Amino acid sequence: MIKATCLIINVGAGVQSARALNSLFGSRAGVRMVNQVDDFLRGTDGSLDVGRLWRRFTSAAQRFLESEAGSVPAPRRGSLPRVRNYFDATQLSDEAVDVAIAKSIRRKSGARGTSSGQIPASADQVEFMLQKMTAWRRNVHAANPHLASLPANVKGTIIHSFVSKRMRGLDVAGLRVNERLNSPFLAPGTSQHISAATGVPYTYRIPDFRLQATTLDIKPQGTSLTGAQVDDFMSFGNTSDVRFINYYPF
Amino acid sequence: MLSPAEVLKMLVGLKEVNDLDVINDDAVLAASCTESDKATVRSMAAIIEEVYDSFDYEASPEFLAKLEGKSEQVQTMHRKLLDQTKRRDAVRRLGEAITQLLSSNDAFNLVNIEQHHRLIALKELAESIGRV
Repeated sequence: MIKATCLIINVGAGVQSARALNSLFGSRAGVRMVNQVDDFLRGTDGSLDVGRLWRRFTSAAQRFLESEAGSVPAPRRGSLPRVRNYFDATQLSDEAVDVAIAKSIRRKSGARGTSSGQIPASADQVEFMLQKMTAWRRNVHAANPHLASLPANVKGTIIHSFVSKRMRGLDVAGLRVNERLNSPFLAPGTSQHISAATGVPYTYRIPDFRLQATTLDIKPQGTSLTGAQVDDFMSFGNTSDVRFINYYPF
Repeated sequence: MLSPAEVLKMLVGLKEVNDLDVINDDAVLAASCTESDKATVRSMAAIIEEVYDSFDYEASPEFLAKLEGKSEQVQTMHRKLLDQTKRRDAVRRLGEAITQLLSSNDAFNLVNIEQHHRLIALKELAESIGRV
């Protein structure tokens, strides 16, 4: 009787330990062991064979300890590795930061990516992206004393180049970057304006961006939205939707 | 067209704002140098990239001169005092020194001796701009 009581006490402690281990490891062996001990305590089969149950229990406990605790030693308190569960931006490269800013601008525009990687966007969304990127880069360049000291045309070309590069990286569906806009009507000489370089009427123009019928061009603030270039944009592109992306000269 | 000193300023400025790759865009070079100088400017950009990437103020002649003749403890202290702010400041000074490479040798004092051949090549390339 005393032996049986001690056994039950020990087994009760075993259940607690097994449950604790089971909650720790969540293993099948742990579950089996707990069930066997439960069966033993409840005596559900009516013919209690303590020896058989004890053997099954100890065997399951041993398997459990070997398979689980043996292969995966319980970590000692205080020795757990520190897990970084936050985003550490200090490790980002300058390029990664620029890519992240460009993506943020794209997301803010409302344009959403597709599974193919291309981004379908409206003309308004593209205009928003161009405005933000141009302003961002204009400010970065203006704050750099070396770049700020360069002639205006060089600074403007650098901004164009940067924005073109980033827009290409965003892969907006149907967006044409720095592509020739040829006259759809006639061969050379369809423009009413004479090229200063060739001395003959323009045969093509190169707008910074084109999305379907919309032409977008980066210009310094104050540039008039009229003139030979705009006329040709409208005439060659057969559209009246020409938009300037302005930046403040520096 | 830009003068050699302005080309150096442009390249250093572009490197500082992480836009040095726009030099691959022909439009940028067309606005800043003659056709015959385009290859030279691209070579200069490559050298500047290398100088920046290999820059380590701790290995500079200026810093090493500070340590010369000092005890190991003092040397360790100098290295410990070289925090991120001072390192960033050294990079900023490097940019300034490269833009003045044609008139000053400050850059040689900041760049590791093993990298001096790059500075010499950069100076020669800059001096050749505009010479046809």
